[in-house]
Amino acid sequence: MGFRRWVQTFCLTIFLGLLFIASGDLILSPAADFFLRLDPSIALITTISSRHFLGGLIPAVVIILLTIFLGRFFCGHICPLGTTLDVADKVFAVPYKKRKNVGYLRSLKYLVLIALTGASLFGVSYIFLVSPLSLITRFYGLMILPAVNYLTGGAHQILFPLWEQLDINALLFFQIKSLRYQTQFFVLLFFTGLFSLSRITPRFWCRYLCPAGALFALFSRKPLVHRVVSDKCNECGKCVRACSMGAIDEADFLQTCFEDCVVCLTCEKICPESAITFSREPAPVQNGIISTLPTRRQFIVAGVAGTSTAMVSLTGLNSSVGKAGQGQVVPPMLIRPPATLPELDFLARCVRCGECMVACPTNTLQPIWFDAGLMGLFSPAITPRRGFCNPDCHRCAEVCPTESIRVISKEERVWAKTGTAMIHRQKCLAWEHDKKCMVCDEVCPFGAIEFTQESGLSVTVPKVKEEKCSGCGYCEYHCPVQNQSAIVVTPMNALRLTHGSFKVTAEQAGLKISRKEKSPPTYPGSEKSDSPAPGFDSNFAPGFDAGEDEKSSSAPGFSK
Amino acid sequence: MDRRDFLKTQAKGALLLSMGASGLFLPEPGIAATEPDIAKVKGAPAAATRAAVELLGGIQKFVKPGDRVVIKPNMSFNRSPEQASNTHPEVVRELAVMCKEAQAAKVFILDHTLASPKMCLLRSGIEEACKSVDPNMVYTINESNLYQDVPIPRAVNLNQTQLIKEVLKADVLIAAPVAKSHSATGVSLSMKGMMGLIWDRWIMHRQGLDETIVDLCTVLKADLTVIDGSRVLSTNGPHGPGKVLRENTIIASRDMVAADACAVESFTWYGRKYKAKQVGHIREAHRRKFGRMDIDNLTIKTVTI
Repeated sequence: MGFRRWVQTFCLTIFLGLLFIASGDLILSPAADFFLRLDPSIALITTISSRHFLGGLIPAVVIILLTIFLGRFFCGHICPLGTTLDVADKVFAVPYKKRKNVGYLRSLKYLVLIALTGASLFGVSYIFLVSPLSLITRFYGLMILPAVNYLTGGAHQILFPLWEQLDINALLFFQIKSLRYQTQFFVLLFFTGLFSLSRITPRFWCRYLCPAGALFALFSRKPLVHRVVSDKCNECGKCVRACSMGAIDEADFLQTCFEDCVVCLTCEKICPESAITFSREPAPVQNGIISTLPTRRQFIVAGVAGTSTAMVSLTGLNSSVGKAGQGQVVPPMLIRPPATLPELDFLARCVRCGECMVACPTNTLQPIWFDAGLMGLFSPAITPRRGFCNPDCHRCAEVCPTESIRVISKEERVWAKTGTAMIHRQKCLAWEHDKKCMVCDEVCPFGAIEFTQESGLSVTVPKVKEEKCSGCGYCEYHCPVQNQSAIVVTPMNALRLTHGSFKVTAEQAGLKISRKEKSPPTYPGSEKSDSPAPGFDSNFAPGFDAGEDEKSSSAPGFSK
Repeated sequence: MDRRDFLKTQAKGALLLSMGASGLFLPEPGIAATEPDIAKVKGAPAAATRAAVELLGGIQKFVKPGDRVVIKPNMSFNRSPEQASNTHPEVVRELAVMCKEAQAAKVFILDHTLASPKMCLLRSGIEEACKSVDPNMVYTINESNLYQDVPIPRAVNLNQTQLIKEVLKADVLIAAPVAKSHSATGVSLSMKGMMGLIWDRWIMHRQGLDETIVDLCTVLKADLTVIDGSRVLSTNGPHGPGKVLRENTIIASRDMVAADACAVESFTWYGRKYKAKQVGHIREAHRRKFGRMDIDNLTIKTVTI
């Protein structure tokens, strides 16, 4: 295994390791999003669409600067998608002679980048559809990891009799988080397609489609260190056939298309004459740079395509453009993670990498389909039936590469209201069926469920104190009513602040979110101690009764 | 006898019971006349726990050398010990220590938590407290593959459930609940607490808590019940925060119903005294002769240390 393979293996291992650490809830990895911050396409498009330069994206700038000297080294060495595609190419790629000539697609990646930039000028970010780091994070995080977990859990289950024999506590109580995600079929189909493209040429994605590759290519047109062919070359063509990027001119082996060269050094290694080196020397034969830049006409068409897509998106019914309030058609049950930016800003920033969903300990964060229109595709939403949103946890914010979810202090976190619970009384066991339940009250961390007694009902019934509810979804998650919970979190009064304190804003709005206080019980008797129960039903503390089994002996219409 | 055999015996017992359904006999009070039915000790949590078990004849009466023991505390909430939503860590620890002293082969402290398992282990203080006894004894069981389907032969309502596999294997089950109020069932004590050893507890809410709690206890009958009344969550339970009474009391019994009944009548709930029969599931358990709530007819030994 050569140097490059080692580097690739190392980088992919780090990438997967960070993802794996992010998925566990033991320690937080502050660098979970590190690789995403290396992607210059994310940095460029997000900066333009959000009108905001994020310090966290400086690593991408550093990579770009290095590219000026070293060429597209990132693609050949660091990019986890590139490495994954190299593996896929090993399996699927066809011999050189059988490859189709699709060289005319070379400028396509620039057009992709131009279209994205065009859309981002209007504040619309579609980078999530094509960012290599976003895609590969979803591939491993939302598709491979859950599958691995599932298989590990299954294996543990099958081997359970063995663990019982061994009687080792850690094995007996080994629990692996079962993960489920929506929209992974997109990831599956996308990557099936991507791997299939190996049948056309290796690294099809990197050659023709990748917008980050396009950005690197722009800066690597004349890299300082580059491929140099000496006059020892006997034109055997071995390098041309071995080049996974097709960066060597098929007519003139001395010529290199530096825009496409990923500095993998394969040609240097395999040249039987040792005629190829990567150095700062100028190439002996120089007929000018081979350029794959698009034509002016193509440029304009791509730009217009991007801007018109933005226009269509912004004028879609579900677009949240303009001021919040009347006329906004917002998905009725879309709950964003705590401290998510206001919707339009959020969508301009979120790159749908899925890091937040990987890091979410309760699996409540799910990518959505088209609930919020095309612009909201794959964006994260709290899904309380799947899991509650722990008020002590804000891992989603900590791993977000673009600060789409604000990083706030622990104290602030509690005030970052995500919505308000609402009781469907007709589904509620207590309200509709007069059954003892009160699970919503039992699990609410904020004492936001008030229990009262209503005439005609023998049991206590729940009511939501709106100003105390943080929208965490404990109630909806735990509600014993099947399928559709009898208590649901709606986005009502969610706090979405660009800046400023959640606590101050919430308190000004009259919210009283606290884990220390709970309204004093409204039960007769709570104020007078030891007084005998003055009556039946309504005068007992919640859950207590007169102490007799109810016996309705009389038939309807008859008196006792 | 492991719990599997126990279940079989229970099935036979159910037959017997249905034959003599007139049910003239209530469960016999304490085995040896010298030992009270209920021990009630006032004192510091750990010392009172030990004393209460001693009054019942000592832990050796319950745990034999080589036994597997499961202790079921309340540690389902992200609350600190002083908030009284979870069992006091020292009570749990002392029980674990005593089981170890009785040469139990394995002692586990298990609960299926409602809040985040990590936060429950951390905030309840139970994991930390038990670390010195055995760093691998406290577990929250929140994945369904560690549960096993089990029929409930004596059920009137809940015919089957899913128990934590380890509970099925256990020779001894110790209920160690904190004394607290409950907005649906009045109180949450040893019987109600058994809902933390099963996977799907929500079905019980749909089918009726009082009957199903007793159904469940027929397969999860604790050999020893130790109720932690060192602090009592008198209002806003089971989660709180609510009014916490400093009662410094530990109540122990072989009879879950008697222990629960004693706890109900020993403390005030929402500022008032209640009789055990005013709690639906305790009344139901007594009616079905699962245990006795008529504590006035039982021997209670009260000690202050």
